[in-house]
Amino acid sequence: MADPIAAALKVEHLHVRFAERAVFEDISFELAAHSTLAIIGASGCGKTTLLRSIAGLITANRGRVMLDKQTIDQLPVHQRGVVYLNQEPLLFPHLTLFDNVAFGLRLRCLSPAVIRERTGKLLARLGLDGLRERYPHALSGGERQRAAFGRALAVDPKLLLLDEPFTNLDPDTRTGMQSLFKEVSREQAITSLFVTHDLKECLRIGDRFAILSNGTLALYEDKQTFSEDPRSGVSTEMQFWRELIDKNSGK
Amino acid sequence: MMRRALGWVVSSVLLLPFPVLILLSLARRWPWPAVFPRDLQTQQWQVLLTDSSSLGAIILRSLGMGIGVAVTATALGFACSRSLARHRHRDRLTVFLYLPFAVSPVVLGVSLLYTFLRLHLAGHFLGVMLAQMIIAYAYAVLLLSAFWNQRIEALVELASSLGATPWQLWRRALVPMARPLLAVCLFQTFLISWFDYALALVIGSAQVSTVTTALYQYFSSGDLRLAATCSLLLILPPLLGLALNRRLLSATIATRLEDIDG
Amino acid sequence: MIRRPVSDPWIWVLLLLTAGPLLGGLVFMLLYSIGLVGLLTDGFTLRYWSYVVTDGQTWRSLLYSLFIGSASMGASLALALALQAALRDQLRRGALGSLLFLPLAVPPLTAAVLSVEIIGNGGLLSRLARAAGWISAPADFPTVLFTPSGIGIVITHMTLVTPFLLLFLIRIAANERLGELARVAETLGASPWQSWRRVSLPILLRSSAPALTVYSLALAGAFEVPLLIGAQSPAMISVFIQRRFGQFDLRTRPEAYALATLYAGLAIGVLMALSAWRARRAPCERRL
Repeated sequence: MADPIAAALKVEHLHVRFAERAVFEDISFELAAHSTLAIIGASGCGKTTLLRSIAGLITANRGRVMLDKQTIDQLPVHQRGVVYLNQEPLLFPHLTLFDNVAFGLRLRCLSPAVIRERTGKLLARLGLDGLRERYPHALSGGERQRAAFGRALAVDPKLLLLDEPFTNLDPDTRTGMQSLFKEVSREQAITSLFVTHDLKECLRIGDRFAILSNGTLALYEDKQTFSEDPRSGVSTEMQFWRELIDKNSGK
Repeated sequence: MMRRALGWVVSSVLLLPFPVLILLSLARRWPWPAVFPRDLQTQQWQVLLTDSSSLGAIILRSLGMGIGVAVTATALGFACSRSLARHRHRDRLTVFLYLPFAVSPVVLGVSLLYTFLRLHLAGHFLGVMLAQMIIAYAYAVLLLSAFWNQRIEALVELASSLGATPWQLWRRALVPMARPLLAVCLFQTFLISWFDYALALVIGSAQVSTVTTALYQYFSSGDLRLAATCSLLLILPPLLGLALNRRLLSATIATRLEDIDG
Repeated sequence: MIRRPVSDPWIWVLLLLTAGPLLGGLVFMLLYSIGLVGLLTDGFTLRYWSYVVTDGQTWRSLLYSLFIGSASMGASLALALALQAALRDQLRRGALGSLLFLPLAVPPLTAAVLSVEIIGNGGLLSRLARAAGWISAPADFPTVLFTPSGIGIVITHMTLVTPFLLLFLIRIAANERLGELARVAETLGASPWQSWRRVSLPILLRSSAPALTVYSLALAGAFEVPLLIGAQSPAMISVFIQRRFGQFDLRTRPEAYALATLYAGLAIGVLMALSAWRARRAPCERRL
């Protein structure tokens, strides 16, 4: 296993443009192993583009991405060890939930017994045990997203990229998924980038924080510094609640 | 590079029929092993269009039959497709619509012939049209039932609540909305009749001449150049239809089989 | 959605135009073939059926049709899948995507005429082979038409079916979001080949299986192409029935009817099995 203190992910001077428009011109950051960087930004600020270029689904125009001290820019998508989780779960419609989660293990030609054991454990941990023979269409939104999460965890990714994965869920399921993600990524020592436009989700999920706007990425080492920056929106939010509380107590 | 070359090969194969047919239709002689015919002339075209073969009248009749079949099948199909789409036993009823495609047109023709003889429809172009209608209608219902979904039904309810009578509903809302699909349906059901040979042969009992029966006669009499010329006549209307309407073209992807998938 | 009762008049029109003539025709053919109706009937008899069922040609023709139908479909499907994988970008953009529509304007009769002129012994390919110095007479060119192997029929069907299947597969790929699912598979570690084999192919085949089965049946019952470029014997079933039926001797008619009933029964059986299979599959696996 890599040195836990060393940076697992290192992005240097990443530059992506579509046609004439630069989405971002010079993004650099590092992420320590086993931690989660929560990135917040308005719609259309390039969050998805950033994740997709790290995963190799988009080719960056310039810059370098290193993972565990290895440059991965030139590697094809399937050799990067980076799993990208979409807003939509995108489960394979022709496979059962079990087969969806076991998909990556089957690719690695593991023995059926190992696949059964590893997948079974994951399903139990994610609370999907009773649904293993169901097809995706027969699952609820939350179950599908949990399955997609399990499918990503099963391959033991070096880096997990989450692109607003809980946006389409109802509020209760969403909160549940957030805590589940937090617990499981701690247990399994996952390194991840989590992109969201929801401030509360950002605060709940991240170990470190970042704001992406106008093509630049501002980084914050902890919740404290993040909250203090007016750009994070935390102060505005607190202001709102404070006024509401004052008003109510004034009555 | 390999892919580009493959693309060129596929394109050439798709285009090849047209120059071959045109050369054949213009060739006076084309003895083996000449790769191109010796001298070109328009004799075949003259034979076909002006001489005693009366192909002009045959073409007109085939066109008329095709248009009649297309309009009737599409109109009936559109009306029935809605009832089918909303029916409890939709899947079971759909099996009936596959039947004309699964049993061959020859078997269909043979099974209808005796009844048609009794009704004096055999050997008459109306009988042939009616038989073609059975296939074209099944096709139209399969194709058009894809149009009906919950969004359309919600619009129907909305229009009714705004005071539309059932007739106004079809005339002002449903037909205009379905227009692209209806155009594809008219085109394809026209082709079912225009391309048909088996039913014209069995039900027509050698008394109804169509462009396809004429083509077969030229072929069996060994005159491939006339058969090729006739083929060009057969290809021309659908080609025009595809060329004139690019949207029709791309919408055609959905047709023929897609809705057999139901 | 509102469900209507069976009394909907349009449903009666539907039954009248589909089940009516087809099942009515089938019952009539059955009655004719057992001598209960017809011009020259002298009462109930099973002799036509026993003749048809014991005639080796019947089964040869049926098996031959089944073989040609599935070979045509199998070869066209394999070619269409290969072309779809190889030409993905060219099919999406550019002229090739439009050219695929051209064969839809070609009727089977014309396709058969073209086969004679292109792949026949005296056709364009044999002329080119001569020009290249590979052969010296038409007879030296491999014979594919009018032979019992039926290879010419399969090739002709392929030229008609492959472009259509390709358009069909492109459509399914778009509807099922195959591109996105393939990317998901790749981020999970699947090589392009693994992602095609484990994701794209099974989804394409599952979504198209019912349509392809009906299409195979239609190809097994094809008439024009085998009539023009097929061998005298074995004949494909439609040609076989039409020949029996078209004979001047009216006494072969009941046999032709028995044959047609037999074939229609088999085709309907396949259709019913297909429908039952879909009904069983539907609740556990319908598209998202």
